[in-house]
Amino acid sequence: MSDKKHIDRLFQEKFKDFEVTPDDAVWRRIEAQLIEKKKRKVIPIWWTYAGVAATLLLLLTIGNGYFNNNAITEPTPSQVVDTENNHPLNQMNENRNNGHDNSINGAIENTSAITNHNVSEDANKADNAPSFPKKELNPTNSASIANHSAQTGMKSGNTTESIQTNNPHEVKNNIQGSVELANTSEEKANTSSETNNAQLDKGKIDNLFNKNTSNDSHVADTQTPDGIQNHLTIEEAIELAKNRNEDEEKENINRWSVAPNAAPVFFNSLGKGSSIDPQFNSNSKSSETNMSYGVSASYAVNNRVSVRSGINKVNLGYNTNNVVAIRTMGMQSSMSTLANVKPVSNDTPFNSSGNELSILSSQNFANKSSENFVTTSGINTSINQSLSFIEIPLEIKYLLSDKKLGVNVIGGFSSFFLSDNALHSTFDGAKVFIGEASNINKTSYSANLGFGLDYKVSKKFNLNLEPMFKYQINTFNNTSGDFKPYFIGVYTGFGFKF
Amino acid sequence: MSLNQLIEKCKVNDTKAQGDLYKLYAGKLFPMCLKYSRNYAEAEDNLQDAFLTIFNKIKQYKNTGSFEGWIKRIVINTALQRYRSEKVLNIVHEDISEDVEIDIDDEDISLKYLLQIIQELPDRYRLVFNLYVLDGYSHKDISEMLDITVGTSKSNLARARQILKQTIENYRTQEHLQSL
Repeated sequence: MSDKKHIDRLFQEKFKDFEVTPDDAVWRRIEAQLIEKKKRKVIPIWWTYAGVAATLLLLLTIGNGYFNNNAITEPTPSQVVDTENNHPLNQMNENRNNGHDNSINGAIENTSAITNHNVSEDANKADNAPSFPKKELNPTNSASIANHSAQTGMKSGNTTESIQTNNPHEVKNNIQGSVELANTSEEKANTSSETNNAQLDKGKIDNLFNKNTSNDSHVADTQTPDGIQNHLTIEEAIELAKNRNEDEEKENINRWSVAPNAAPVFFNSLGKGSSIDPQFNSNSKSSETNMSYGVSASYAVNNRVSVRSGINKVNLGYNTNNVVAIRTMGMQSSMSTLANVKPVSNDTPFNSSGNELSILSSQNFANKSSENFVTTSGINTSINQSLSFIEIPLEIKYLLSDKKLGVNVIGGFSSFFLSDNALHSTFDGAKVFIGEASNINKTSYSANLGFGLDYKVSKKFNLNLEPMFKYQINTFNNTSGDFKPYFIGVYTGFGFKF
Repeated sequence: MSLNQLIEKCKVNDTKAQGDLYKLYAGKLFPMCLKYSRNYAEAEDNLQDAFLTIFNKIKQYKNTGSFEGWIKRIVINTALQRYRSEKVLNIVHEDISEDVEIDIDDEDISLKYLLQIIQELPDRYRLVFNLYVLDGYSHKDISEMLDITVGTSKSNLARARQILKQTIENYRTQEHLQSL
């Protein structure tokens, strides 16, 4: 028979040497995660460098002033502006700016901000505006009340009528102040009801200003817009946050987007050198501003990462300055050939006279000036090299900040297919065709790095600004000196999501 | 290769060494996962999470104390972590007096059956029973690990023993009846 035993002992003895091997699948899953983690570690480092480089590039490309104006002022409206009311009100602000001094402009900006936040307020409050508890003598509060009533007018036809009848009465009391207003109103007096409401607002606000001019506290109050804005932002913060989250969630559904774009492109070389002939290595080069245009399609892999490709037509060009072009009459010159240029054939009717165009760097020319030349087409001519490509980019876009103004880092590469190439000498605006460069590869590549700003106009539509740096690889054979071509393009366009 | 060499290689994320370490310990650690988990699938998940933690934190292992003890603690923590995040530990305190009679006949009961009835215990009873009886932690340790009082730990253990005993006895009665 069996002994009585403490239950703990029973379990301890049984479990003491308990070994069981798990399914191999467990190890495979662990291994997969370990490998994935290794990969994941590599990418963020790369993105950090890319981010730093792109930021530097942005500063270099756009320049300090432009950067300050845009990057800092653009986000501000994105925090405040929310509804379709924004448009007429902005117009109103612009009209105002002409006629009033700065302190008043400040006040109007405030009131427009307030108006936007109060759209959802109850209509009853507006009806009770005269006895509204916040009224006091604070001008900004009364402005918000005034806008309340106007907003309510937009919502309900009945109240609109009552406001409209009340409003002219108030405006009459301040005819002097309204003269300018009337002028601007007439200019903007379209048939749309929105404009009418904007006029109502103007009347109210103008009315308010006239009250304020007799009030000593006016200046102080209008000069503290920050405090007022903050106050209202807090009231609406949660709602705004909710709205944004909803927007983001909906955007996730739209994985595909198409974006036509256009960009001014600046072509240049990182080192001293020449793609044309060794004698031009030390000549100054200047970039020509050309255009690139095309369309790209992108697919969002997840919230942050999207992959895109497309097709672009790129024209590039640069000038080699300080050259001398010489027309030699009826004789072959030893200097007539440039290393990497296939000259125009002598059989062409244009060139049948036997004239040979020789091109030298001006320094080279000085050395050889003892020789006899029949004519010179001038000193300080420049050689213009123009190239055009079909570009097929493949890029990854990583979203750093997903606000109304999205910030992205972009990296990738492009394949280029040469479609056209020519060299001209330029003197006083006159271009003479020299020939084609013989050292340009039919297919070349570039490494791309850039920085993107997306301004979301709506869920489906956004505006892009993307300064890109493209370092060209394998574009030229047989370059001389340290010729490292690149180009910078500031791509602008708009994107549709679907 | 010695264990220390293997550990050093794992510290530099050598994939082969990680595989060898897994092979060396999976057989010992998987039973631990089984007894702390509700079922086989959950045990596999725990083992997977525990090994990922081991490979992540192996750099912090300083060759002081036994390596096996170190990785066993990780397995237990992984199992406990699951229930912490699921918040199943907040069972209302049950005041059960110390066990009176928990001796049991030592007949041949299969390990598989014992494991099954442990897994069927309510989560907290299972954790306390495993920690105290099978892994040798004190009630004070357990109270800290599970964020409960020592008294709760003791009463949970007593309740776990009673349930286990009752289950085994019922099982025997049934077998006995069937054999008639």
